[in-house]
Amino acid sequence: MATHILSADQRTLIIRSDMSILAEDEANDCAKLLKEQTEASLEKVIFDFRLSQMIALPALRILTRAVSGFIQNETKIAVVGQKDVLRFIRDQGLNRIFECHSDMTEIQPEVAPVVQKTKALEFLNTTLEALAYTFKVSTNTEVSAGKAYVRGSGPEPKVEIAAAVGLFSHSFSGSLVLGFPDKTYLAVMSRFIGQEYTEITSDIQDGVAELLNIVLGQAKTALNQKGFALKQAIPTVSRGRNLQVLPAAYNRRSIIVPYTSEIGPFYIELTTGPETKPSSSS
Amino acid sequence: MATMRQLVKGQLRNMGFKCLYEADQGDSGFGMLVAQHTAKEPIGLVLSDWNMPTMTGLDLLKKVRATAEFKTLPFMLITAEGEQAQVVEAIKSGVSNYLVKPFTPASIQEKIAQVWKKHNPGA
Repeated sequence: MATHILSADQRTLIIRSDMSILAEDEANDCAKLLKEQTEASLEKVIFDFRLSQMIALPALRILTRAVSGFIQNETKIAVVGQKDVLRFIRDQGLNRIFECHSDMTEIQPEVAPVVQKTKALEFLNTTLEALAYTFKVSTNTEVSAGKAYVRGSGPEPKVEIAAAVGLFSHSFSGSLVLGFPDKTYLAVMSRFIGQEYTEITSDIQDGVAELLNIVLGQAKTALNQKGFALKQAIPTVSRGRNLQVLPAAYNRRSIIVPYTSEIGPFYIELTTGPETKPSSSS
Repeated sequence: MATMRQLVKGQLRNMGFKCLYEADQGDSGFGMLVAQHTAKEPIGLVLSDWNMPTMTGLDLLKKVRATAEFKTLPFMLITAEGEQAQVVEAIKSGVSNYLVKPFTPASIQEKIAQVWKKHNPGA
């Protein structure tokens, strides 16, 4: 099913499809989304078809009809897609209507941050849900997310053990850190494994990475259904007093979400970066 | 990961399993299967994580199923990702059962019991 994003200035509409084959039904969905914006003064309409491997001719005709009114209003129309889709559009001579691009940043560099911000928010919200579910099921613990803040604009979280993981997709990249004070971590692991732990031994040191993996596994399943095609690296564990796990590009802005629970506080930290090209990393 | 092995071992002990072997890699796990089989004390159930550093749980499963002695050995995969494509791939490769994290103690015990009873109807 097609989805859409309107840029912050309301001037760019991005219509996205997750379908690998773009057929008439999906094109009709796109046309419907477009029709909802007929009153808007759009400068650009971008069809984000990067996940589609082919487009059917009837679907292309539907889209051509759907954009005709916008072209009269001098709205630029673009398709971002894989080479076979773009070649088909050119073969039909429709590249005079649809500008063809293989990368979002080619069309309008300022669109990328808008997409990135939206994706980061979607990722964060899905991750928060996955985290609450994971703690409930695997440790029988209810957790509450506090107000998120940008690192530096709120208290420095007390972290003594943490796991960090890099995340990559064609529309989003970043890193996620899950961190605990020792006391909270021991309580979490005692519930997770089902036996009492009073010190962090080698048996439980990697548990923080295991929890992060489970949270991301949950989030990934939901996000990939929305077309994220998210891949993750292997989490790494760090320990130390007043630990601050810096992302690879430490000058990027990161968001901290503090958590409270009956077994103590803990934190997650999301750092996002610019859009990346598809990667083969897993 | 060590933590997951502790968790699974605890659940198996709670179910009454006594003789437990653990490996931190797929290839060393396969070595244990072969060694125990050679020693005439064969392992009766394998629980493997999907994500392991050198050999994934799926690769281990394929290797186990490609070995004549272990073609029907009960083999359960535990994974953090429940994507349909993964489940289908595991089933095609001959997995006996499949458990997606996070799980409750009750759900892992239930899955293990299902596999165990299927392969040991009289037990």
